[in-house]
Amino acid sequence: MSSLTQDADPGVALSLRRVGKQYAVDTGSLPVLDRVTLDLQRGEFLSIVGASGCGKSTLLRLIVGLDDDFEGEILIDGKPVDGPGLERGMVFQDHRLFPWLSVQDNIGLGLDSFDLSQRERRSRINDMVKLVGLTGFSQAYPHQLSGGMAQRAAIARALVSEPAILLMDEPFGALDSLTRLYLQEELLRIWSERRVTVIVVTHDVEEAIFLSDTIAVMEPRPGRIQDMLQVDLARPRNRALPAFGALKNRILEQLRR
Amino acid sequence: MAGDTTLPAETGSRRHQLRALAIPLALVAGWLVLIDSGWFQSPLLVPLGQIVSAPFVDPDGRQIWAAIGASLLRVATGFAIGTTLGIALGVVLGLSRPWQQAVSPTVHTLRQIALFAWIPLLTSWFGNGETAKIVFISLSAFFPAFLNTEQGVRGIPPALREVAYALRLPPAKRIVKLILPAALPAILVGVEIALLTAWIGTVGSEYAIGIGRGIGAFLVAARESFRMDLVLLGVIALALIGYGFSRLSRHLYNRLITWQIR
Repeated sequence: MSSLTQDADPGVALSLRRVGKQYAVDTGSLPVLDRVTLDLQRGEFLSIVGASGCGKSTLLRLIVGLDDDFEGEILIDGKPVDGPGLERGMVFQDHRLFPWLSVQDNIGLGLDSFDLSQRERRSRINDMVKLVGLTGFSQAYPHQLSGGMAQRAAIARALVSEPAILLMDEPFGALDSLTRLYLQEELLRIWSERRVTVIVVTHDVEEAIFLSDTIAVMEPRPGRIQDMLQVDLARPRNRALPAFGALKNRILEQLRR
Repeated sequence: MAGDTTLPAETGSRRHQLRALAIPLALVAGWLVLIDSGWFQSPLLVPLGQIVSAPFVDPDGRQIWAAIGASLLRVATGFAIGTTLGIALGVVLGLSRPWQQAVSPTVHTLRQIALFAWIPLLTSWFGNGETAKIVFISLSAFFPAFLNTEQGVRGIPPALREVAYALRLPPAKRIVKLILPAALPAILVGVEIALLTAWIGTVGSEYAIGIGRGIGAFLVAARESFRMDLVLLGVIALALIGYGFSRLSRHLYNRLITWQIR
């Protein structure tokens, strides 16, 4: 175990070493994740695709630090995770904005554990509002926002602490298809502007191909990585290209197995 | 945006309010026609004009103002003590599982004691004066404030708690930005009920505990001197003030909970 920590590659932002997880049930234990191992390079965009129940969201929760009951090792910059940390930003499927706080105060939650001057705080929040395209809506309350706008605010909240890794659990799954396509493009823009490492969990294969450098295909019972694919298509990617379609069919084929 | 939606609701509620006034107005009209006109006479039924003018022209009726003042002061004190303690304990127990397990069952058992059953106990502990009354009023405000706050804090969505955890919100920020606002609707419902039970407790304690000023004591005195006009005056004062409290807490709720889609 220690040898793995020692030879940590400085280019690696996150590494999972034989990560396993089981839930206790009446009849014993139910494995949900089985020896998941992967390395994520700094600035890499990874998508995890898989059918529901393959443990992809569970894996994300372990990386975020919301659950510390697992086997194996999760290393961030070579150090094991110990609970949540602000070097990781999390975006949930439902925006989870606090309904009683305005957009800017919701974003500000990501800075509440830092000791910042009012000015610094305001300028960082404003930068985020601009980055996610919510200019003019900083005073709005979540119930006044559309689903897409609320999810933008949630992304801003996750990014305001300038995390090295952005983790997203089916971030666009609850949005209508047009908004989803638009936000996918926006996410790529934000990613290239901020140069963060991103992991997106999704069940939308097209979304995964459109966004990612690497796609981890997971299979269920117990959840494990079936295949890791590099997406060698130039960005911005065109969903109508044959190579796009071929890759999509290949992944769908794998998922069907 | 909000203006468009509140406008029709407002006129609708105005029509509701008019409808709600029908019965009281009919009662007043009936009273005027039957009693004030002299058609129907009974020592128990006094002309409305006499009741309404009593606080201004009748030397005994004028006592009602001092009584109202004393009762309001008392309800304010008891309500403030009771709800503050209730909300504080509710937040603490809602946040801490061990504390909740240790304290909650006792409080929930004490709540089963009918409020007025406390009076003999309290008077023997605190005497027949002001202290026993204030303790009794505090107690009547405490339970609804506590129960609703505890429920509200426990009902905070786990998804939002998780956000606070993932963002590493420090404890003080967690209370101010998550716990209190999330529990606020429930807390305010508790405050509303507490205000009304405190008012009932105030008059009840004035009626049942010893001597002193207050609307309860005014009622006792009026009944003992067979002044039906003053008894009815006291009852009307009670109802109006209780109604005022209810409006006040509704107003407070609507002012403070602006973020909820109503």
